Amino acid sequence: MEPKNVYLQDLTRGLVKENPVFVALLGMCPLLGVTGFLFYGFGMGVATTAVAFGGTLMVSLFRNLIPSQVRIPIFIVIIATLVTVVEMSLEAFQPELHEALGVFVPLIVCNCLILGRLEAFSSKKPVLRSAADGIGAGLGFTLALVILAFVREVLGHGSLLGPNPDTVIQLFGPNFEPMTIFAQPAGAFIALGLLLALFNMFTKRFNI
Amino acid sequence: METLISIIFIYIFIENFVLHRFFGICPFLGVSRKMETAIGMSMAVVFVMTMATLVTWLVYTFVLLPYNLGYLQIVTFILVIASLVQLVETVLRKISPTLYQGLGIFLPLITTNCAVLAVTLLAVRLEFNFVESIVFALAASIGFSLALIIMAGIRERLEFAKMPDALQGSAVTLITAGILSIAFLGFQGMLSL
Amino acid sequence: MREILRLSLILALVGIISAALLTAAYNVTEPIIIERRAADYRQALENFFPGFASFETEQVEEGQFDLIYDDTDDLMGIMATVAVLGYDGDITYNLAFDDSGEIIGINIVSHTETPGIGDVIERGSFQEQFEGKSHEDPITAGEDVEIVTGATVSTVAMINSIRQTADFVAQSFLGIEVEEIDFAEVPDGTYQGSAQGFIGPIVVEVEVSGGEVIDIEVIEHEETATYFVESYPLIPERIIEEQNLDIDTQTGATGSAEGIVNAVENALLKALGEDVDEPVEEEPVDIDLSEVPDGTYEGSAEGFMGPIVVEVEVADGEIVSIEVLEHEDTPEYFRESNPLIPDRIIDEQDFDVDTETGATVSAEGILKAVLNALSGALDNGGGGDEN
Repeated sequence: MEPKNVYLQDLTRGLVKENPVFVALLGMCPLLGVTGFLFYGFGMGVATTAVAFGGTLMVSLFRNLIPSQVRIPIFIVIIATLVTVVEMSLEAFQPELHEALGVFVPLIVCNCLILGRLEAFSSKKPVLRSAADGIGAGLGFTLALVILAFVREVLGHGSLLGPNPDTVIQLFGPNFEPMTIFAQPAGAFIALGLLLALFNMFTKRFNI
Repeated sequence: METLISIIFIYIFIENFVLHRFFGICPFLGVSRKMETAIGMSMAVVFVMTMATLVTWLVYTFVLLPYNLGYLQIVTFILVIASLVQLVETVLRKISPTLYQGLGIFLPLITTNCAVLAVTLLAVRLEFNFVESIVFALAASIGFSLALIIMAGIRERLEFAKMPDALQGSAVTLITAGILSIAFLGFQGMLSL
Repeated sequence: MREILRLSLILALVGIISAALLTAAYNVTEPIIIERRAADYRQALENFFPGFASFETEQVEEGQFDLIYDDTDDLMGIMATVAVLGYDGDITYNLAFDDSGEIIGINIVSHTETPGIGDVIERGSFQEQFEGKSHEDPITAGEDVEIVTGATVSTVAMINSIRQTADFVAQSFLGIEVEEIDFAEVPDGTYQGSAQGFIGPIVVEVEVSGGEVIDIEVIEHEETATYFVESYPLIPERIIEEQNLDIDTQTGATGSAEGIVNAVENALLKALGEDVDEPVEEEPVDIDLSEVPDGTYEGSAEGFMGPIVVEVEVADGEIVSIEVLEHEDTPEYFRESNPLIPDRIIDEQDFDVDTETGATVSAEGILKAVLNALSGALDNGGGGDEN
């Protein structure tokens, strides 16, 4: 058994120091595609973390059985299977989220984030650590998603927890004109670029 | 015929897969630093995307659909893509070692290019027929290449521009992509299917 | 060789396990999905047909139609379930009719339209405009229902689909004859007809010979040139090719397209001796400013989304100021025309100003409102404020 704080390290590493988005620039496609609303960004984060957790768990469990020469296709099949299960579950239990995330759920498959963890970590390390590492990466990704979605929804729609009229909170009065550019693809790029710059400043200043 | 022309115009300019739909961003950011690599990747993507769509469409229509196996879509499609890439790699290594060298590591990277998987999935989800799917894939890949090459051209100049440290690298690339996306917004509303 | 065999077997094994897992997951989730859809459907039925007892399903090419009966076996109405291709995929919706073919309401079952843009089809303000309509109403974009700018593909697709469904239900289930023009019955000749386009009336001339429409020409229109070219001559060509008015009107200028089709329809209806409701060609109002007594006058006219009310101040035979008091147009569009159009009118002291802005309908509305204000002043014989 490893000392407790190794697991903590595995879990938190992905949050800042090795944040998959801000440091390694992985998982860009869903990041930009579903962050129009906070709810959707968070949902995608949860879905990706679930797949990351399942994937790292499985690969680590069977790491001695998976032959090295065909490991990549096998990883891909594992991830694709998990993603399909997640998509089916979304369709059954969260239809609104499923409709909103659309084709980006299947695209979790090519999120190099997960494949990267499997290749670099889960295929070599024991189960508990791999699982923690997977969750950590997923959490880091979710953090990025939530921050970007927060910025884009507030600036682009002037609301939070939308667009469902039952849950939405309008932050500003009815005369507020949102910067709709942020609700659009162009704004997503710009917002992410600025956030990235901010993140770089932040890490450099505090030497993280 | 006009549908086909519409598809070409729409998916290269109006709904550019990178700048409007966010597919293929990872390679877009990673490979656009130099023009040669951008061109190399573009050619590879056009080829793989079109071939992959062709094959996956056939598999979906003649194997998955008739046996009610639609839910195996994701797994089969990604496997087709991965195999295709492997095949292309092997064939290329034998036939044209120079080209293989030139493309380098980009070939295997295409497997994780979400744009390829996205195109194959959308081709069946949008209910295109066989010919429309191929044209769709061609248009999407050309659109991707267009964005990639433009970005490479810009980035080669950006290398020499002065800017705050924090912005350097990917941050400014993203902002540039945003501006490019705004430029492409000009095409909005021109056509619809 | 053995190595390759071993590897292939392992790959195949993984594949099979994956397929098995997925099949299991599918068999678990699919019933849940189906049950939820059925529950949603039952809920929709309850909403539209409270207290219904049973229904009979008919599945045809156009969609699924359920005849709803109450507990005395009387027909309460019909629920149609139709799928139409929207912007990003199919939109599946329920359309509820009462027993006379009037629409009770709409329920969107599923769609993949862009959140925040195309999903306007789910909003009450869009759906409510269909309530009470039936096959007798045009249900045409720009006429009695409105498209939503920025989501034209989604909304036009819905409108056209709803119109076709209403006609289909009336004809197939309620035995009502739906007026459809049979070209073969139209006598040879050349006919004119007009209908509302996107900005103003479109006047067409239709030539019929031997029971076929052989030529369609637009002789007057007020559409913006760069848009109109998307629909003309394309739409007339389609009508002539298919010898039918039920053609695809989704172009880059769908409002104009629909206008052309309706104008042709009106021309043919007139040829068949029917009464039609055509947009009144407004007499160009020419107001002699010198005849307008000093004072402040209010007038209103239809803008893009609703009435525009203006206040016009006249002194010494000149317009001194124009203020827009009220309007319902989208702010970012409206500011393309205001204060530009009022400024132009005051500058030129004339009403023949260029109204082609990024919001031409609003511009025309402002102009007409000003004209109405001043005509009102003249009609009243002048003098003082008119409210």
